[in-house]
Amino acid sequence: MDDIELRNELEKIHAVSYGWALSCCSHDGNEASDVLQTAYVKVLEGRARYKGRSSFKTWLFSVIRYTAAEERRRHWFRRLGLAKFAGERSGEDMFAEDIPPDLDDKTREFRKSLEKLPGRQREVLHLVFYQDMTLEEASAVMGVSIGSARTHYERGKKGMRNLIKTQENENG
Amino acid sequence: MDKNDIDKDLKSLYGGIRAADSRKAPSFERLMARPAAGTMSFAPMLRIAAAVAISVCAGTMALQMCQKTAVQEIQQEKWANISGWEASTDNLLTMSTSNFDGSLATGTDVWLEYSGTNSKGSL
Repeated sequence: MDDIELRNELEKIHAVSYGWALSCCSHDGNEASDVLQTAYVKVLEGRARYKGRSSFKTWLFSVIRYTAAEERRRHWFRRLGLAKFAGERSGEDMFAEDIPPDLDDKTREFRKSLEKLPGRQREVLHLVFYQDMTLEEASAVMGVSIGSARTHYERGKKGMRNLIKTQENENG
Repeated sequence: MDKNDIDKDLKSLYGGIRAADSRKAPSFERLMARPAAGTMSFAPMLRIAAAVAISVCAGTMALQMCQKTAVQEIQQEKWANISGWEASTDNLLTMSTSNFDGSLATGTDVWLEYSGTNSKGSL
């Protein structure tokens, strides 16, 4: 795949990639943009190479996931006050908005509930229900076996069922 | 809520999030045009870590050397004290090794001399 083809592929799935980046960054818009941009640069500069073993989307999502993990480490340095070693971006953030104001209450509550789930369960639910991936594809993105992905999936659904029930009871 | 219900619910709720995210998503061009995110540089961190490790090693070595010198000094002092020690009866040992070739005079030697003179009848 040459540069133009890569760029076209990235652009084609940009919206869903952003959604995945948001999910990997606890819906922090700035961090998601950083992660996505870094992942794209990695792909375009050839630091991450697509070898055709899986679909382009699956491969790109695993690059984004890995980049988000790097970003979390950077965030950890930032917390320790070592921002200059963490490659802190200077200047104003372009994407300061985290939660869109036009989200309805139900979706807002749902998003909050999602944050209560363990990371792996949240990831697999996102990949299956948001990205319409199969469990096999989700396991490839997450770098786990399909059996493990299935376990996270079932536990995640059970957890969400309980959280939704609790919310419904609280709201009457 | 059965298995299918939760699947439907999740699908619809995630649909809501997806719609909101797509409204919020920056365009591909805009994202690529923004200032590049800093890359994580571990080199300065490694330099700091190496400096700290070297300092700790040097400090430990210096501390060990100081402790070693102090112990050596204490031991030397101890040995000096032991080698300089004399018992109160050491004088007796000195006397016992003196030469008894007649040069040693005791208090009663005078009497011996007197008795000798007397035997010659010089008195």
